[in-house]
Amino acid sequence: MSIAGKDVFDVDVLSKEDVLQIFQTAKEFKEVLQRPIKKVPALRGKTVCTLFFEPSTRTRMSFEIAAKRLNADVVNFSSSTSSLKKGESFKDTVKTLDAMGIDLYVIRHREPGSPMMLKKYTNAIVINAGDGIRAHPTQAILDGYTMWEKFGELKDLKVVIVGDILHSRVARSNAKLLKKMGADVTFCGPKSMIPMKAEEYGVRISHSVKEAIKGADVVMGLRMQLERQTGGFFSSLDEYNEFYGLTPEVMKETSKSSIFMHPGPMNRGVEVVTELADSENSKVEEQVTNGVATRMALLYLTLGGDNGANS
Amino acid sequence: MLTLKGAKVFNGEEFIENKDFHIELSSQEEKELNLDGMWILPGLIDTHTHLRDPGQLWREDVYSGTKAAAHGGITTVFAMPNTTPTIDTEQAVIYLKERAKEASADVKIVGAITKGRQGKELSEMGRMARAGVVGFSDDGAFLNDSALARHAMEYAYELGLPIISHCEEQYLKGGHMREGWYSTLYGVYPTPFAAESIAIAREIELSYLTKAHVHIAHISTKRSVELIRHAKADGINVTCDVCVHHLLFTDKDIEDYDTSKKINPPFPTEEDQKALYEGLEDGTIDAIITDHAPYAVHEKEVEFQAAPFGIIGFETLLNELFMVSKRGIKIEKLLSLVTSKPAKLYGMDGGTIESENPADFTVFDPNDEWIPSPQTLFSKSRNTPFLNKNLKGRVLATFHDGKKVYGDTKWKLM
Repeated sequence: MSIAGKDVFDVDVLSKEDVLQIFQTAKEFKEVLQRPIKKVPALRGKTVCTLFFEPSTRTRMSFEIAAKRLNADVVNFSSSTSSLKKGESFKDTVKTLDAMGIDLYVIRHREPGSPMMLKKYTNAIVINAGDGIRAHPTQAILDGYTMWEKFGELKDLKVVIVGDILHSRVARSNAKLLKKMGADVTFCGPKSMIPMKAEEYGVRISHSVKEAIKGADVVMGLRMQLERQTGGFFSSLDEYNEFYGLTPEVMKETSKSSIFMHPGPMNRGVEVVTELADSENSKVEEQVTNGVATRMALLYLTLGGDNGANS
Repeated sequence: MLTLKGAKVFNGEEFIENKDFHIELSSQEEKELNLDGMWILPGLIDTHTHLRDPGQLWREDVYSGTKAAAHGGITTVFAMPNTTPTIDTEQAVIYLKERAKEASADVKIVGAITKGRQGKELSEMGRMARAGVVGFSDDGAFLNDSALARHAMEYAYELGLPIISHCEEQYLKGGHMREGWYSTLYGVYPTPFAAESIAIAREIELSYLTKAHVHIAHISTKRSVELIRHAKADGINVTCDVCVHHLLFTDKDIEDYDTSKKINPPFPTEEDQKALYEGLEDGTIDAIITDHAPYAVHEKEVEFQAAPFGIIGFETLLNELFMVSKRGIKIEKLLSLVTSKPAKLYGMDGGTIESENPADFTVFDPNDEWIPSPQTLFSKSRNTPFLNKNLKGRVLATFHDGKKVYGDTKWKLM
């Protein structure tokens, strides 16, 4: 059983053991990241292509740095600098790139299912870096790793995800990964922003932060997508902030060792206040570092490495 | 004279005793074909199809479309008016009728309710009726303006023709699959069932107001079935049909993001599909349609949410009905919903076999198999989830107006 050669469309393709192996490997790579020379030759000669059809800075850079730390060659494609603007189809774009000899694609696209569509046109490994509102497996892996690092295991960990769940691929992939690892997960937000039948993920649903957050080990805020204001999903940012905003005050109800997480970018003053975002409990920056370490692990393991960071 | 012997004959309601059929041949020879184990059916009637003619001929035209229909055993099709330009004038109706003279099936024309299907001004319904349309529809769009919809029904009532209504509330629509657990899981923007049932509720009330016959096209939700069942019990002149694909696929099947499973209305949830089966059983649903909607490969070979809505259906209709019957509805009932029932619904001839030399009929071998593929399909398009799948049952020959319009090799002699 191995992660080598696996396409990571979502976290469901990974077994519990796979996830733990990624965590262990990430831990070793995180140590590499603290060295003066932050580089290992593990993927020398491999070519990684980041395919970004949707704007992203942090995820693309995180993958690029991860690949470069492993000595892979990295080429970046983004739709704003590509021929997609000229009306070239997704299929033609991928076939053109594939003819150049890519070993692994990292794809971000606004359309759900696009990583699977990419796979139809390539034999390279495909890692999903976010497809529409469907999935964001590497974010879930880095979030899970951050919790694992802090608490040692995910089993029975009480995790509350607060905010716009409806439009969140982060919440969807986190729910799957955390349930797989035995955590107790709650989605909390106004009913207009909880997707239909979300309880089928095995999560609890709550419309009250105060209630949901009691005894929580992890509170994860989600970015309120300001462009949704016109859709009638909520009445005003001010009201939303009053009922669902995360503050040090609200965090008092959580467990003693609780942490605050956020996939970023944060809207300070909307879903979270600065006092919490910058507090000692906040793992937001740690998440970014862990993003690089876990992505290194995933690139390394999918591309066939199995000897750890020292190979 | 060709004599067909030994087939089971479906008369539009039930299978009757084997009897011999006689077909006039162009030559004077006398021939006999033994059709033991095969079925002879009335030419099927599909009351909701898109022939893409005029103006979208890269997808289909009246000839390729009706050849595909003949290949599926269908001899009467209703052409929806969402063409380029829209069929919304008497001239357009006459033009299409003229083109359809050489077609392989009887093409009945549905005229648009509003000019350009824009929902702003009524089209010249009276003149189109004079040219022979069988009903009016803005199919693909719901007529949001209820006052205009009322007036359209008033005209339709006077003309003795139905309004065929595509029901979709304007603000709730816009998704790419039915809202439910699977839309959440697959991350596809959904449309709630209420988008359909709200629109149906309006049509029922306007039918009650105007007395017009309103036929609700392709219903797909439990609430739709319940509302129509209730309206019928109240004596309101409302009828409906269901698309055959909606009886076989559910929202769960979108799993592979195959755009040839993208259709509007979207595939039902399991609960909604169960209600459709109940609606078929108790007679709430009056007909089964294919909603044959061809799209070129390049149009469908895109991201799921970017793909157009529609599935072709002519050539797999009987195969699909066969599959539906395996789920517990008698095949006779299903066949009646594509023969005698729609004929009666729209006051047309056909859909039955009464004489020993019928003009429209098809010969079907329930034990043979075939595989839809670019080589075997007659449609210009390939957007079917059954592409390259082995299907049970095969049409061997179709006759329309006493002439063979489709026949495999065995029928070369005619």
